[in-house]
Amino acid sequence: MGIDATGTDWVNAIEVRNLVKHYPHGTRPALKGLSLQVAKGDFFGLLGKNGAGKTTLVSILCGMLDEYEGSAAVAGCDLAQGFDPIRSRIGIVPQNLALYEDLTPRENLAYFGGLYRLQGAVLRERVAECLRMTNLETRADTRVSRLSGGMQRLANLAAALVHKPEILFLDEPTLGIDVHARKDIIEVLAQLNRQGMTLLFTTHYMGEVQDYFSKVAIIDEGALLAHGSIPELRAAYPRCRDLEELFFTLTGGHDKNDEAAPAVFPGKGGAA
Amino acid sequence: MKHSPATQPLSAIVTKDLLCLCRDKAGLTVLFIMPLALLLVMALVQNAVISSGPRSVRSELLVVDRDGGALAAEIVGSVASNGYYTVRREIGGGIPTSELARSAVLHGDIHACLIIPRGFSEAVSRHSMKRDMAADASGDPGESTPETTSVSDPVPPLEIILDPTLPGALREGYLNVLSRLVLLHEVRATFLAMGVELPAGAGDAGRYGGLDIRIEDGTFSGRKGTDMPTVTQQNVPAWTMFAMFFIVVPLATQMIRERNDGTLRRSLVAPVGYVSLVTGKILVYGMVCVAQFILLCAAGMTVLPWFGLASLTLGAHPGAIVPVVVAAALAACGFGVLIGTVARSHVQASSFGAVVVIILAAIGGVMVPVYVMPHYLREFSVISPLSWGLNAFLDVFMRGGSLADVLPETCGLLGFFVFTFTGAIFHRKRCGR
Repeated sequence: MGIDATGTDWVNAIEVRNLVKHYPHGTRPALKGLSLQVAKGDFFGLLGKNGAGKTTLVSILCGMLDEYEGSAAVAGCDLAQGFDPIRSRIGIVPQNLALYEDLTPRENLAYFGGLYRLQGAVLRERVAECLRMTNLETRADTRVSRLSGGMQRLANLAAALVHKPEILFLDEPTLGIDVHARKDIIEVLAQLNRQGMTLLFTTHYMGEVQDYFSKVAIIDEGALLAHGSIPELRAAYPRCRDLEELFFTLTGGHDKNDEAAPAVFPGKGGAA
Repeated sequence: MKHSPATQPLSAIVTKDLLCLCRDKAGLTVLFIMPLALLLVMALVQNAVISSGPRSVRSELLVVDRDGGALAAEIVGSVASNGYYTVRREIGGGIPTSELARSAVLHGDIHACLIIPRGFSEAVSRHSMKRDMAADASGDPGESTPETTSVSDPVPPLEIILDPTLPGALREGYLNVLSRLVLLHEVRATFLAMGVELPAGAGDAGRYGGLDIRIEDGTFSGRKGTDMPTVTQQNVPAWTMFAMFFIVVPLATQMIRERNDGTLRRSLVAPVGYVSLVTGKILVYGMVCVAQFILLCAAGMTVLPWFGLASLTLGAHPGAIVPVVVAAALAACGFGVLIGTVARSHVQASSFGAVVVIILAAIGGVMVPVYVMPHYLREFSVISPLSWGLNAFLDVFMRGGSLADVLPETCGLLGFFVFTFTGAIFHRKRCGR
């Protein structure tokens, strides 16, 4: 299904075509004709090295960056037509801890919920539900600055959920935390995905998450290298034992020409 | 509390900014304790320097009276009765020699030393009588012959040793007081020789040769101002304006912190605009400005009198100050928002903001009144919004100004707010920062 101007009926949560982004002082484009689709209800892994263009793509899809070439649609709405219809339908978990550290998780959630016009009992219930979902109930009234790194990341996630978004963008949400905290976050996300939320998860740690991804895209230097479900990628790259090896093969020191040739979804802007 | 859906984001922003501010102890210190301390210290210092009260500035004068005569006693008594000088006779528990007194001044232990030489009173009397006799011989009582008096019977000189650091006014004061006393004595002696006794008090300070000089305050439309222009009346509005504008630093640094930690970008993904986010900040920090004004006025009324300073009075039309406070608060917050939007880093915002506010305060008459500045600096004072606010405060507090009288300054401050706020929004749209 193509782009729906009203955004009321959509199959693809995210649809990006030939996206090119130049930064004013950049020596090369951050995105070079990137095309991909994320279906409604996907747990989509966007993998790439540092500087591959993951954060740029998420920033465009969340309305934080404009002035790009190509087209992008979120929840069926073309971003070129304006971002306002989409705002309440998406949530973002930024790479850094985008919370007020002098406030408690409860106060942070109440603030972000208030921005989405939630108020009174509804807001209180949503805040409590998000705290429960992220296992932060016991530390809900402790200042964020006094929480452990893992709990801060959970609070960062909870703040994106308070308005019940349909599509959640997660820009390296597990960066810099230990394996237990990463597991806690992934489990919360898996639960949200089971409830129908579409997730776009960018990372370059793929060990713990690869089993949860319904689809994966690997990008490097702003271009798509591979795109498909894990079984599809395994079938396309039989010499790679797992996703991590495929990732290194496509983005690292291996000979790309050997492995990148078979496009997983050639007809959908697959491998570059 | 329930808000309409439209105002709910603003309510959330205001609540968040209030909580962040209340938990920032360093920020609260800068916003409330610092201006209070500045007001107290500067008012006390200025009171000591510029107050017209008789005992505000006292200089210690060590007298070494080697004469012990009537004129010496009269000089010492007159100096002691002058409000600006404290006479000391002893140093280190004993009566000093001339050399010890000189050494005490040189070491900065005492401001000045007066050495009255032996035989001074008698020599002055003899000198006066001889001059009168010479005048009688020439037939003109007003004409003396200096050659004969000074050469034949010289009066030993009074020695005054002054600390080089003594302010010029006090230095001149010593010389004026002493020369006036000696002159007065000579006039009296001359009249006595003529058989006329001067009435008590003749020639004392405070008389203006019989002229009737009337002193009047300049006030709006002849309305009565405050009783006296005091240090409190000058300093409370001055440091209130400074404190209000110093809000630029915490406001701008908070904005940059939000930009750097990603909370601004996250907030902007929600259905609120940059204008709403900034408006919430202006409401919170504007309330802080009003609180600063109330705090400093309360300090002017209650705390400063504890230190011997005059109490603050709000003038004949205290209600006229309300629009000035609101306009000044908006102007300060607008400036903070502009700095917070334009500056690239925390350090840039705090250092640039602080320096600009201090410069605007200095040329705006906060630290010293504009009228004591050099002429070319006075021209610059009109560009400082702190000067507009300060003038409006002084119009109400000291010149009996009403709402109409402070309207130009109020409009100027509001114009400054519109200019800075619009500049910030325009810059944000143009640069996305």
